[in-house]
Amino acid sequence: MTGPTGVTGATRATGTGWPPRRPLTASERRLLQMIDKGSVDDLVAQALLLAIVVWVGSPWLWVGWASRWLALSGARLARREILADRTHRALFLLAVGHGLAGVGAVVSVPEAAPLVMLVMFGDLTLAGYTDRGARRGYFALCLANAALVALVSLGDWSDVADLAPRWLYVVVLGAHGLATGTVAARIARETYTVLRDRGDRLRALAARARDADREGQLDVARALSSSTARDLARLADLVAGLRTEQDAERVRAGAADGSATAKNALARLRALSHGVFPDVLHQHGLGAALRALDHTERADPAAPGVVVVEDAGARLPADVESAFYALVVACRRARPGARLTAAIRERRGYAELLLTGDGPDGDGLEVDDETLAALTDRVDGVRGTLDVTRADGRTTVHAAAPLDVPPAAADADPQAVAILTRFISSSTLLCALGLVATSAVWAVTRLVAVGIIDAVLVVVMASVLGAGALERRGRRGAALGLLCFETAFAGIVVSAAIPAFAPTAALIVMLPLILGLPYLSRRALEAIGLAQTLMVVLVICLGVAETGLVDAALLPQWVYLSLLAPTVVAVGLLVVLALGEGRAAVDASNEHLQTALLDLLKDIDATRRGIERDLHDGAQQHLAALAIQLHVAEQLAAQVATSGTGGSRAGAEPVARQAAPTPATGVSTPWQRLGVVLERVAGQVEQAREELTLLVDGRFGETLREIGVDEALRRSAALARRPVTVTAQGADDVPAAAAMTTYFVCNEAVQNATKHAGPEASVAIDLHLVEEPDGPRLTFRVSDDGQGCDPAVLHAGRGVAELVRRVREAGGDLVATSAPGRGTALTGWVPAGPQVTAGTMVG
Amino acid sequence: MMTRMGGDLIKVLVVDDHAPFRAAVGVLCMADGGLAVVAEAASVAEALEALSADPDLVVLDVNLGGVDGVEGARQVRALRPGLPVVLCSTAAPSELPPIPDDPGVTFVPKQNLDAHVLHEWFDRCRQHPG
Repeated sequence: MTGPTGVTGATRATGTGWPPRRPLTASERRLLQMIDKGSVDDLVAQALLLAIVVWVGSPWLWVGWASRWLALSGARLARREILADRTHRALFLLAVGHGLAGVGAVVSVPEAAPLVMLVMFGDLTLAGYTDRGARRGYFALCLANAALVALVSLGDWSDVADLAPRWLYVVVLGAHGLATGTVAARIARETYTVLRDRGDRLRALAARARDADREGQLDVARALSSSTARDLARLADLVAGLRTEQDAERVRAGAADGSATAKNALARLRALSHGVFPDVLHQHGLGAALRALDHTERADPAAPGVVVVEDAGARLPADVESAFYALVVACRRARPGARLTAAIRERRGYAELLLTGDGPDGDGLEVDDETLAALTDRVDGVRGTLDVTRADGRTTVHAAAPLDVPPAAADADPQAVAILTRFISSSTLLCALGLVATSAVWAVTRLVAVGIIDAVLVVVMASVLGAGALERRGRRGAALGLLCFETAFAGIVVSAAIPAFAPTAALIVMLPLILGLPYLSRRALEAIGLAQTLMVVLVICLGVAETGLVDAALLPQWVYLSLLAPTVVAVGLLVVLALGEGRAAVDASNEHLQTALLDLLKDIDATRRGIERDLHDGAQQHLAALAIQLHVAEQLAAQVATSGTGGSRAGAEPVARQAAPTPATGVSTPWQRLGVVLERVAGQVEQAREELTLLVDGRFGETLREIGVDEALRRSAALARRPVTVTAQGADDVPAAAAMTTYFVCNEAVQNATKHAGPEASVAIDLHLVEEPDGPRLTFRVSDDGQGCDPAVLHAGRGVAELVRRVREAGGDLVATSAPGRGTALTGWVPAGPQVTAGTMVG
Repeated sequence: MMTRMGGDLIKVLVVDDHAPFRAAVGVLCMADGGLAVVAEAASVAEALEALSADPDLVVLDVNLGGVDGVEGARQVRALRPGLPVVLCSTAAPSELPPIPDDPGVTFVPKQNLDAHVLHEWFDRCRQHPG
């Protein structure tokens, strides 16, 4: 737009195609659908109404008809605002439109007031789409609309009732009532359904996150034990060999091999711990971590990586950074060859990540549905949204998450928030006030109609008190049922007695439906919604048909107003109370769940970072130090080999015995120094192995215990390339260390069988908890029906020896048997008593 | 081959919060004969104090608790402008804060550290000071 003025990413004009326009969020799409559908319905209704207006010929009807166009224009404007990314304004426009149309409607047909007010209250339920800050203003607007409609309806302007035929009047108003009631109930129900679905989803998310975290931890534990532990075992063997070696040249070659082994092991471990949690993300933020992805995760430096074209600069909340990072890593993994472009932004209280891909075929982002679902979960976990759009052959992934820290969740169970109780006590109070007022009016006027209302109020009050008693006994369904009956009864009798009260009576009938929203199942809501809507229609028809016991015209105006105005206010209050409290209850419940989920994700991240730190501070440092020292050993051995100073003489004795008791610097010969170095290296390898075992048992043991060793083995069996069956008895609750040892040994045994038993072999794992005099033992047997081998061959390799070492460290034992043609079996046990756990951990 | 002919020992200050690495640098110097660890420190604060041992070369880990090694290098260089610093880490440079553009500071992956690297950096800094 401004031309090529050397703009940076942050100021780049949107017209250039980058960054692409933010796609609509799911809720915005839902709102648009609602507006579009409403607009179509309204156009059809306008056409029908036009025919009626022309036929009846009342100028008041023309006013009502014209005002509906204003509402339609409001909806069109709202639509434009949503598309222009100003959804927060759209709701206000819709509500203003509804207000204008509502006033127009009650000016022409005053009896429509309760229906119109239902629309206003329906608007209230859409408050979730507005900005949090604007919510109060939005509520005020909706309530002001309702109050205005109620006020206007009190002035009886229209001549429609006289001009239109009675049957037409009844039919139009009845149809209108049915349509409005259904729409209002649907909007309210959908809003609640969205809220409640969100609750279910949050619960599922937490469960999945916990599960995925456990799986991930076991993966890391498995990788550590099979890869790093093996590297260290190899180094231990190698160093032990070097210390008894007498030939300097062989020591040199061996040390060089050892140094390379340590470096390779370090590189593998670094890749592993980077996958667990990238330290750079914690230290330097999302932008830095994405840039680092370019270098660290790429085997081929020429391959394209992630280009960060725009970076908010400031740090985002840690959980958001971590979710966005996971998103980019998953997208890269989905299409390794793709070049991804990322923009990180902060906008209107949200952190945003826009990701586009440029692949060999123009599109670098192909995220399969499963990955997409997992990523949506991840972003959803931090209260964010994820959208994937495809346009012009280019895929854009857009993630947004709020920057603010959510309020601390209330400790109480939000479902127990006593909306119903509070509603019942408010109703009781209002009924009591009404009873006093109508009794006073009846005492003065002795009018039959007032007496009927007085009697109805007594019945209503009794029902409300009964509902309260039921609610206190925990019979919520029965309490709601009683309220349904009570409101329907009151509505029918009141509108039959005083037809002018019909609109208000209709509202009363809708109350239990609104009240039941947070409590009832979707099916129950649908049933009640249908029943209540029919009741509304019945009440309206009764009112319109004027089959009443009392003609409103006979009531003195002051009686009429003194009864109607407080009733409208009271019913309005109850509706708002029911809606607000219901929403608040579900909202609170969701916020509670959301905070719990955020805490869980934070915990998971903290755990992963802890593991990364442990690996960085432990095994990685050991391996780096070993690489350095083995390189030193290599150089010393080379000196000995080439210089001949003491080479041949010292070569007569193993290096180990040459170790000087005090490693003084100036006086010792290279051969003696070599002895000192190798002694230290040997000590350090042992230390590293012990620390690794402790780390694996300590960090992952509890996770394994939670899953159960048998279940964990079944899960890894599902990934094996041979059929593996797991049978277990009592193995699901053993101490962490016993579980961990068994898990690794069995996994390794399955690996060995996969490699050596032949393509036709299947593997069986048997776990049993047995009681022995010295305490419980977990016995295990891993057997295959493969080709087997000579026992001598079996024991020659390091594999079985390493397993035996691991089991004996845990205080158990292991025997391997095999014969050609008869398969291979590993049988062993580990102590599974609670007291043994501490012993092995320290040992 | 590594002993400096007629020269004094190069006095090394090792700064790392991990003992295995400090020990490894000790072994490296001991084996070389031309290098000697005169002081060890586990943090930048300790390192600044240890400068009183008058080292000729500082081996400094980047990922230190508290003040990181990059900032540490800046502080060391500010206090002793002529003192060569070798930063090291098991992490790749791309994962670390930018290494200062200072002719007296270099970066070596931890696992590749050896006597040759230290000698070379010391000699280069002496030949092209500042």
